[in-house]
Amino acid sequence: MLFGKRDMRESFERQAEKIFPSVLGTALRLTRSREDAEDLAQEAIVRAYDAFERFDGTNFKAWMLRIVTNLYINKYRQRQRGPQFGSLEEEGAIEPVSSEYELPDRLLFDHVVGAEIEDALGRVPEDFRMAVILSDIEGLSYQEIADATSVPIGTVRSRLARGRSMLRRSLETYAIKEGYIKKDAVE
Amino acid sequence: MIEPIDLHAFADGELNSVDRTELQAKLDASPDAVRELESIRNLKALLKRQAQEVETRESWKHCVGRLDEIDKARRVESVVGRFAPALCGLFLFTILVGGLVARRHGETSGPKEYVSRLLPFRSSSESKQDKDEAEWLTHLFNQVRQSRIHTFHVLKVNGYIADGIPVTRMSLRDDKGDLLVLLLPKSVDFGELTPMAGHPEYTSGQYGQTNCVARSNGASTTVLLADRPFDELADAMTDIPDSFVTITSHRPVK
Repeated sequence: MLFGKRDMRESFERQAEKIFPSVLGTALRLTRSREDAEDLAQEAIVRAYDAFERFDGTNFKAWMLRIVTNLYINKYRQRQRGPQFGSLEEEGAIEPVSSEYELPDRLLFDHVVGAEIEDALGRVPEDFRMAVILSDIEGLSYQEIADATSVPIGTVRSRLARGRSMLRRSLETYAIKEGYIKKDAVE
Repeated sequence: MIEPIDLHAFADGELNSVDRTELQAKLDASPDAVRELESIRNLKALLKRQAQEVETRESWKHCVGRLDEIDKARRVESVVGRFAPALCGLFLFTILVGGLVARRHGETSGPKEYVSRLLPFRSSSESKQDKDEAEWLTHLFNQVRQSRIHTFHVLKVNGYIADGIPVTRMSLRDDKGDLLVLLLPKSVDFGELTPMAGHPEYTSGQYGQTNCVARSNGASTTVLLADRPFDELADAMTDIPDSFVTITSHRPVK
């Protein structure tokens, strides 16, 4: 029994260390605070270790991110501060990701770097941001995102489409503000 | 007409083969949809490529520390939990055995100590005693002298309190030597004395180097000590009448 526990610890630690950048990265992108992110990530690791015996063995990363997301929703969300876009109606029309002013992606995307993307992502409302992070950065499937965020797959699809659209607009705003692209280029 | 949401699902590889084929056919006829799909893919690629790496080394160390603490707590819980019934059993067993030993020990050593407390031979005449007791002892002495124990020569009678019990001590002498008689107005079971062979109503043993025989009739106890064989002590015991003990039970005690 003791050997079994030792093996369990080793197995958990090996898998958790491997995906820890995703755990902490997601925590950081959700909380937008290094301190909160570290607390969230550590608590998620502890919770996961406690529940490791019940892990079904399919996708450890998705399981861990589900714990992180649930913890964030249940515990950290209320503590979040800072400017938000404000929540958007889930049922509203979905805007296209591509620029309606035909601003080429190349013109926009070639200028932005990691920090600017993180900044733009941080300005996307959190439900939408969560879907984009889990899908586009962490590579989770719609079903895994639905499980992680406790919403139907239809909502995940909707949030992803909206989130990406908002991110694109945010990047455009940022690029114009920083002078990477001229305002008249999009008008 | 292509639903934007389907374009995202297409870009994410979340459409089944039928829907994917159907959407692909629609895309061939819609340059705007193709542009939108391309933009979605570019944004996804940008996020994947440009999302910043997060420094995790220190945070991971803290996590490992937390896991160590959990393991330590689990080990303690495991040991305690696993052996809890055994520990409880051992604890109860210890209490039980301790109790039995104490009882057994008490049975053997308690009365022995009790005998030792009975034998300080502190004479009442030498210690402070009240007038009633002095008179009673005189009365007792006269009773003894007038009793049927003609085989004994009464040397001395005195009394003292041992362990809350009034003990009457008589020094007797017969043709075989001196004897010491202790009279107690209650039944005392001396643990160090064992039933005497041939005289089940007596118990016998040794106190120090001196042989000792005791008789208890339920209301009083007579102890006879002398440096002579047990059988002779038993014979001497038969010469001490019960009435003699009864007299001692009327001793005034304050």
